Amino acid sequence: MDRQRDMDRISGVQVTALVSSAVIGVGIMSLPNRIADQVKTGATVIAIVSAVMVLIATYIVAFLSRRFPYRTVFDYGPTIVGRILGKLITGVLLFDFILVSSIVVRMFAYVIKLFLLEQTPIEVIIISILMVSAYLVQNGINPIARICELFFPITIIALSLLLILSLQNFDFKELYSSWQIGAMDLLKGIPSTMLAYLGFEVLLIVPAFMIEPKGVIKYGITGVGAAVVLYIVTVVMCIGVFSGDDLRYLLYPTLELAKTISFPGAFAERFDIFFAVFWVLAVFTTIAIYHYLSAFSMTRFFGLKNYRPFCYFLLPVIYFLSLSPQNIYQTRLAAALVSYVGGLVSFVLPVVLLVTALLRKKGVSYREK
Amino acid sequence: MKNRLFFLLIVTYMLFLTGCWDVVELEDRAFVLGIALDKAEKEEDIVVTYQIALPSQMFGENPGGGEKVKNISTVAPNIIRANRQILTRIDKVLNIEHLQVILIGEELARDGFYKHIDLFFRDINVRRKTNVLITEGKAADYFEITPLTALSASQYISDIMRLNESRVHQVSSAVDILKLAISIREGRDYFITKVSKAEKDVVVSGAAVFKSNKMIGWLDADEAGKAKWMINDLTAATIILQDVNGIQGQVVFEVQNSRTRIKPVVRGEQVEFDVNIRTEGIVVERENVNFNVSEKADFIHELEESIEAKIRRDCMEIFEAAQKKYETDFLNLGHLVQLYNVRWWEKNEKQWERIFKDAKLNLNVDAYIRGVGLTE
Repeated sequence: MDRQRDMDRISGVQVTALVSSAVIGVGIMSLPNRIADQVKTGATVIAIVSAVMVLIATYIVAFLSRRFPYRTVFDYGPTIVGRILGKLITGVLLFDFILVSSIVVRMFAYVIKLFLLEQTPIEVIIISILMVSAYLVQNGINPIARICELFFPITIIALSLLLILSLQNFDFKELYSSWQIGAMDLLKGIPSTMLAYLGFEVLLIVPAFMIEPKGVIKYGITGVGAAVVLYIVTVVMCIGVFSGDDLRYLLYPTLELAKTISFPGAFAERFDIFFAVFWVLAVFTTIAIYHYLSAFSMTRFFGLKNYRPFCYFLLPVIYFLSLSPQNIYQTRLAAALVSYVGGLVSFVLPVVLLVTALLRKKGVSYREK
Repeated sequence: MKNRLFFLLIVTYMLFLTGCWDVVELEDRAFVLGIALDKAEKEEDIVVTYQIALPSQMFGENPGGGEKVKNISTVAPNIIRANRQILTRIDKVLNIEHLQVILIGEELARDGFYKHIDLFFRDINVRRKTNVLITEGKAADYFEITPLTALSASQYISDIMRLNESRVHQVSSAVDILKLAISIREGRDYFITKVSKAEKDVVVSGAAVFKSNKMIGWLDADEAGKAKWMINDLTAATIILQDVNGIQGQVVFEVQNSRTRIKPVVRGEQVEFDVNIRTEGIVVERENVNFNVSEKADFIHELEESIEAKIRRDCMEIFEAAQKKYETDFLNLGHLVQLYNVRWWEKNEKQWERIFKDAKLNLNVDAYIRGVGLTE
């Protein structure tokens, strides 16, 4: 066990890339629409306030992880709340990771089918991405982290390019109404927006592989921070281009944003295809991370050591789960339900664990040293 | 044995390397350059005309001979049906990714065309920057024009919009699918650039005014120019003034830089618009060339004042035309009120048409003459 761990270590920067890649995924395509579904105006405020709350939640998760260096939540969960509840936590996490993998794969396949591979059956798209993911995942966290490290800057650059080029259609006036928001609207919009930022729950497990676990808060916050900043700017750009009202009609506002861009001189008339290529990289990292976490937590759930076979055992499970929604509305409903489980895991669970740990004085406290 | 297994493996892999599942070869595609929509005899039908590029005629060994485009028409209730009907008559797959322009005939526009064009908003292959124009008379006729400086009528009209919309005051600002989709979905009133026929080519100027998605009238070239002051889209304008400061003859002022800021002020049910226009430019022409500007110190100043008065008059005229003649808020000032005061808008949205008729305009125009060209 220890020997395998020693080989499979990741650095702080890799944690940043990993967390960021976990957050940036399919959500970036539909986030502005999700906010606009909830409230008529004030999407910008909601995006910013939710981002701050997500950063606070990230801090809590990272703080919890730092108390238990070199240990995952599956190890310290039982120490804090006892064996049976610890097993339950593992089960809930496993359930969440599998569901997230399935839904991300499905939404990814849907978008790819929509505008890249129109005639290709969705099953083929799903199987292909899962096979590639399994190939990456079977070698442990380090290759995943390195892939994230490689793709993360590319994703950021492609997204930034999209956002900068969107300025040609941007109307600053559309943002005026963004600040006029009532308290009720704010309360209504924030929960669902916070769920759109999910992904930082990987910090419950990933820091255990860090070479230097002390820096987890710094690197974790940086990763999530980069992701939420991109999300906020995306929301702002979408409002400026489409106006806040119209966003509720657009299924994939970010894709639509890419479609509105025209390069001068008719060079590369379709920017959306170019953008899609890099978006595939971002989604692939998300899928790989959740696939790995599913396999890893399943191993722990059954008390086994080698997670490798589970990457392949999980493939049919994820495949069938991802195909169970019958249409786009069922998929979106399923995504909403999954995000509630995710909310439970990433917002409620860490707080409960941390409070219990503090009360029962478990783990390492850095201040006491 | 091992070698044979390896060989088998390679062959199996190659099966996956055959390329795109659903590829359509380039020469099997028919690139649609323009789509024209016209009214059909039956109420629910439209006449859809496609202008399809013939690349071999355009860029072949000896271009120039023969038709460069093929126009093909069909009658269908909507565009996707029209697409399918065309496919039974042509040996290629239609491709609308490079669509340059969508023309809509006047008659269809007056009946309301919005029902028929949802495909352009929903389809993934249509670029959102494709221009939409309203034609005087039948739209399909415009595809018959063979321009000398472009390969097709569609590209010709599209290039006029792309290049000269920002250079000519009287061409109303380009309406693309993106803008049109937002206006239609949000139930706003709008105006779309007009294109009319000249003897051998086309004239793009003026605009068609839409109320509740139905065309109710034309703005002529001058009115379209006036409207441009009010929507902060003005990049060029020429203002002609007569007999300034006792100097006989016309003086032509050209706007180089202009900015319009409109701020709605709401008092109960009364709305006022504070319009601030700041414009800079130079004198480009003067009929009377026999005097020196530097000798008459207040000439520039008085010219500026006349320009300001002219702009004020223009804005007032177009605003009153919107209120009294067309009785519709096609300048989209209602959306500005919404942006500045959401609460008020939510309460009064239903009565906006009535409120708009009594709205007032407070104009504050600043004009600056920065130069006079090369001669004094």
